Order: sequence, then structure tokens, then C-alpha cells
Amino acid sequence: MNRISTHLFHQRATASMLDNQSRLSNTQLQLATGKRILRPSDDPAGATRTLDLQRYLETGRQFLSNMGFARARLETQETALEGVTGLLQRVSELAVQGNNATASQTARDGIAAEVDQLLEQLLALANTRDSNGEYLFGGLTRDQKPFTDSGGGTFSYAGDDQQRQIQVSEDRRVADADTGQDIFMGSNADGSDSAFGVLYRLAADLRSGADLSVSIADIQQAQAQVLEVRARGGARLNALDDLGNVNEDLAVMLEAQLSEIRDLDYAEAVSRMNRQLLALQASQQSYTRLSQLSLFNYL
Amino acid sequence: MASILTTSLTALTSYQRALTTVGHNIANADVEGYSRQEVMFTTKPPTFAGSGWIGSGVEVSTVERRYDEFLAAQVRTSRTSSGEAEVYYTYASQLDDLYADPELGLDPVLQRYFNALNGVANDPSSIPAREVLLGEAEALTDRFHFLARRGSEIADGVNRDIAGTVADINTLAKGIAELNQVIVESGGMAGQPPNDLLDQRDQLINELSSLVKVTYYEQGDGAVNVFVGSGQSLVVAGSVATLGVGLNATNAVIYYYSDGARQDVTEQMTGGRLGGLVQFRSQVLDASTARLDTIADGLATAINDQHRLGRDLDGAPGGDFFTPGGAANIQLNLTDARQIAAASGTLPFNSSDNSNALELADLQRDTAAFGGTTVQGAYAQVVADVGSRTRTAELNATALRGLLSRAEEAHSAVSGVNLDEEAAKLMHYQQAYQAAAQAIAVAQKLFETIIAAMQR
Repeated sequence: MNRISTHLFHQRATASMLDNQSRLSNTQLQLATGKRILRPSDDPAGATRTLDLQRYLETGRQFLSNMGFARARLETQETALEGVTGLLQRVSELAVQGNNATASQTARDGIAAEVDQLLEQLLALANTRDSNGEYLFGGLTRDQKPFTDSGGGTFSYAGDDQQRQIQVSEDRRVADADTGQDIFMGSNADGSDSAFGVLYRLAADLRSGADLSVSIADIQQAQAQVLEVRARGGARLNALDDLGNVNEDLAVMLEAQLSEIRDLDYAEAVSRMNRQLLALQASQQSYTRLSQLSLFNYL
Repeated sequence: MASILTTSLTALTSYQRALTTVGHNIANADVEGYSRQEVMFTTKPPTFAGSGWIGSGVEVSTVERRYDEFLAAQVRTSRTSSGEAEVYYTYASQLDDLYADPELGLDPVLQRYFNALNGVANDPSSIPAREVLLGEAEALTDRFHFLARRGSEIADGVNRDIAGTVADINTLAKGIAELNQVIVESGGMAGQPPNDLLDQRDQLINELSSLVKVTYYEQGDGAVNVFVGSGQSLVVAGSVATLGVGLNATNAVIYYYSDGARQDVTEQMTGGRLGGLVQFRSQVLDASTARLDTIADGLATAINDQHRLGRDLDGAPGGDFFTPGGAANIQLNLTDARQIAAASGTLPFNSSDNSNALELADLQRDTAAFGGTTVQGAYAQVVADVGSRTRTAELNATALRGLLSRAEEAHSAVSGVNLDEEAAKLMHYQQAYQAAAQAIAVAQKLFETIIAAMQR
């Protein structure tokens, strides 16, 4: 014979109602927060995965922000060097003009005066500052003007040959600018064979009436040097664009994964809540009915 | 010599006892640990009357307690495991809740700290970027402190709970010893089992079994000797040993006092609430605290080592970034944004050099300090560990609650009071009593018949 103690019957009925209520309240909390995982214990693997994904996302966002710095400076460099290329092109044309046998000394003097102006401009471009007011082409030394005219066709470079790197992905750093050394300087430390030295000598040769063919070759050499740096800078900008796109695509994918793990499936949760409500009502009603049944009612 | 009067009288008194017992059952229907009682009737010895043996009525031989020792033992074992699992789960879920809110955890502040290091690397001479880094470093140490403080609050809770549980065990032990004495005395007097006293003592042992693992042996005289944990004798007949609590550094230690000596039995107190508390502390709380300390110290050391290789905004060699001291005491050592050593220590100094800041920011991906994972990975492991232990504890607690519930059902199927059944017995014994009373009325009529015959 299977006996059931009255005490236990009441206890069990209450316990099952409490259970139903606590399950219901958990579902309600999920619906209120929109989150599937309320505590790490709800899904320990999911909770860790959420942390990982959030970290990837946040780090990715930081890399995008880092890229912004690198891109802004590379673009400033490109603008400046575009100016330098145009300027050297003009110098090259002037040199050819000056070298023409028909050019009079007066004309050559006029050309020399323009070359002097262009040299000033070239120095200004070489001392370009970025949006923070730092000299872009000083290598790592950006708090002082990199190029100064030391007189007599010599130009000093106060910068260094180190590039400032920016972290743009987990394992990739990109230089945010090229050094003035690479862009403008030649092999002489006194800068006599730098782009500035070349212009200085051109102006001098124009005035002295000397043959300009060496200067013309030097100008082409200086142009080529700048173009090479621009190509490198352009390649870096392209790489940044690619990385940026990859990063953004990745972010979208990570967001989707994160949402799948962390966020609640509302349809499922609502239907679960309805089931749980039904179960709670059923246990309440059956308890009310059953607890009214007693032999004592007939005594 | 038996007569209808005396025979019916035995029935009246017997059914009265039976009705009293039914009333007692109804009265105690909701008393925890009460076992229903049943009156056992036996036929009184007949008397010989020449023509045969004449029945002389009924008597109550004993009042039996419906109690199955095997089922009761199962309930106790279940209470011990369930008590352990419940408290383990309760505390684990407190820790679980601590790590539940992503905004409260360590991960977001770690991320912001490394983001700020990137900010300095992007713009090494910018004072605002450096101020942001100091601010985030401060937030990071604050978060370490917060987590450590919550951990030690939970540890305090465990300590208080251990002390409370030990006090409860001592009270129960005293109660069992007192009941032992009374039971031995009453058992000696009547030879009938003192059912209600036995129930009370069994209930005390039940309660004790949810607090700690209990073994017990009934003695010939009715006393019960009780041993706890891995065999420390708690109650021997009428005498008790006591458990006590002391503090060892920050952890409560359980002592066993006997013969004036005290012995550390913390590790021996297995099972039940007490065992669960000790287990939770050593498996979850202490472990997560230690790992948090490892993370704090590992990070501080790695950052400091790299930071000392660099030079600050004024060209001075970098000092310690943090003062390590575990999660509770890690401090920001730098006081000025200029002290952040973003520049390389080997290249010629320049304030716009970001080489060392890059290396510092790279430590986010460094796995040397944390045994093959990053600092954030190490933290994620703590979260995963607490989460999965809590989950296991929850499943355990639910399963063991189910087992306990089944054991209690089986036990109460034998011992519990069912009111319908008692109502039926009430009707049944009432009818029997009324029938016996009718028989006495017949006896009276017989007597009156004789009196009337004599008056004529």
C-alpha cells in the first residue's frame, strides 16, 4: 500500500509551486534584460566566449582608432609630398628652360630668383606639421623643426632615421610617416646633396651661367627619391584601407556571434514563459482542489 | 470470572487508548520528525469455565511507532549530501553573481586600460592621452580592489556561517545527550518504547545530519552514540564533546575539544552544511581569490618591467607603473602623466618617441606572465571556472534535492500521518467504542432483569 503523509503532500505542493515561480521569474528576468545568459553559470562556456568576443570587438575598435591616427598622418605626408613632387617638377622645367642656349643671363637670374622662392617653399613643406603641431618628417624627433638652412648650401637635419610605428592589428605595425632623411637627404651629412642643396646649387649655377645638366640630373634623382617614398606611403594607406575593411567586416561578424550567444531568443522565451505560466496555474489549481478533499468533511 | 461487563470494559478502555492515539497522530500531523503511532490490540487470555475457554476481552499490548531504521538512515545520508550541495551552491552563486555583470567585472577596465595605452602610443607627447591612461589605470586598480573586497566579504560570510553551524552542532549534540539520558531512564522503567522521545532524538540526529556527516550506533540501553565528520565522537551516552571555531589569518578553523586538548579538524568535517562551507572555501573562493591575485601581480610585474625599460616625457628612466600587492592592494605608483615612459630607453631620447608605449600596449597580447594565456584570457578563465563550478553545484544540488525528496517520501510513506487514514480510524474506533458501550447497556439490562425478577 502506498501511503502519502498529509504533511508531505502540502510540503511538496508548495515546493512545486515555488519551483514553478522561480523558473518563471528567471524567464521574466531574461525577457526584461533581453539576455540569455544572466550569470556565468547559466552557460559557463558561453560566458567566456562572450568575454572573448567583446575583447576582440573592443580591441578591433581600438585598432580602427589607431588606424585613424596612422591614416591622418600618412595623408598629411601624401599631401605634403604631392606638393614636393609638383614643386620639383616646376624646378625641373625651370632648369631645362635655364639650360637652353637661348636663355639670356637676365632670364637665368629671373629663373634663379624663382628657384630661391621654391627652395623656401620646399623647406616649408619638409617642415610640415601634423594636426598635433608635431613635425611629421623628423622621424621620432618631432618636437623640433627637422630642416634648417645652415647657409652656404648646407642644410641640417635635426631629425633621426627612426619611424614611429602605430599598432594597426594584432601583429602589424605601420609607420605613420617617413623620415626626412629618406625623403630629402642625400649621402652627405651637411645636406649639400639634399633636395635643398640641389635647388641651392641650381640657383647658384643659374646665376653663374654654368652648365645645368648635372643639376637637372640631380633634380630628377631628388624627384625619384620622393616618388619612391610616396609609393611606400601609398602602399601603407592601401594596406590600412584593406585592414580597416577586414576589421569592420570582422566586427559585424563578431557582433552577430556575440548576439547569438548573449542575446535572448524572444520567441522561444515567450513561449517558454507561457508554458511555465500554465504549469504554475495548473499546480495552483490542482493544489486547491486536492487540498479540499478530506474525509473530515464527512464526519 | 469474565462477564459481558468486564469484557466490554476492556474494549472501552482499549478503544479509548486507540482514539487518544489517533488524536495524538492528528495533533502531530505537521510536526517535523513525528512518526505515526498505532495501538496494537491483543486478545486477553481466556478463562476456563468447565464448558470451555471464555474470552475475557481485549487489551492494548503496546503503542507502536511506525519507523523504518533503513529508510531513516537513507534520509540522513541524503540530508548530508544535499545540505553540503545546497550551501556550496548558495555561496558559489554569490560569486557567480559578482562576475555576472560584465560592467562589474575586470574585463572592461582591462580593455580600457590597454586602449588608453594605445592612445599614448598613437600620440606619445599628448598630455590628455597620458591623463586618460592614468585615469584608466586608477579605474583598473579600483576594480581589483572591488573584486577583492567582495571576495573577502563572501569569505566573512563563510566564516560567520561556519561559526553558526558549529554552534548549532553543539546545541544539537547537547539535546541528543539529554534525550539519551531520559530515554535510558524511561526505557528502564516501563520496558515500553518511549516513542515520542525517540522521535525527538531521531529528529535531532536528522537535523545534525544536514549540518555534517553523522554516524551513530544505538547502544543496548537505548542510548545513541554519535560521531561526526571522519569519526570524531560527539555524543557518547549522556556526555558531549564540543566543536569550536578559531581564526587562522582570515579563515575560520574548526577545532575539536576533548580531554582538555584541541585539535584542528577543519579538513575532517566532511559533508553537510559544514563540509559544504569548507569545500566551497577551498575549491572556489580561495582559488578565485588566488587567481585574481595572480592576475593583479602578473599584470603589475609585466607592465613595470616594460615601463622601467622606457623613458618618461622628460627623458628620465621609467619607474614602476604599479605597486603590486595582490588584487586587494595593487596601487598606481605614477602620480604625474609626464612620468609615463612612452619613449624607448635605448634610442636617443625624444618626447615624440612612442616605442615603449607600443611595447606596453603589446602586453595585452603577452602570454608569458599568465602561463600561455593573456591577462584577459586569465580573467576569462576565472569567470569560466566560477561559472562552471556554480553550474555543477546547481545541478548537484538539484539532483541531491531530488534524492532527498524521494528518500523522505519513502520514509514518510511509513512514518508520516495521513489525515484521511486517521479520519477513517477515528470513525472505526468510534464505532467500536459505541458497540462496546452498547454491550455495557446490555449488561445493565441483564442486571435490571435479575433485579426485577427478585422484586416480584
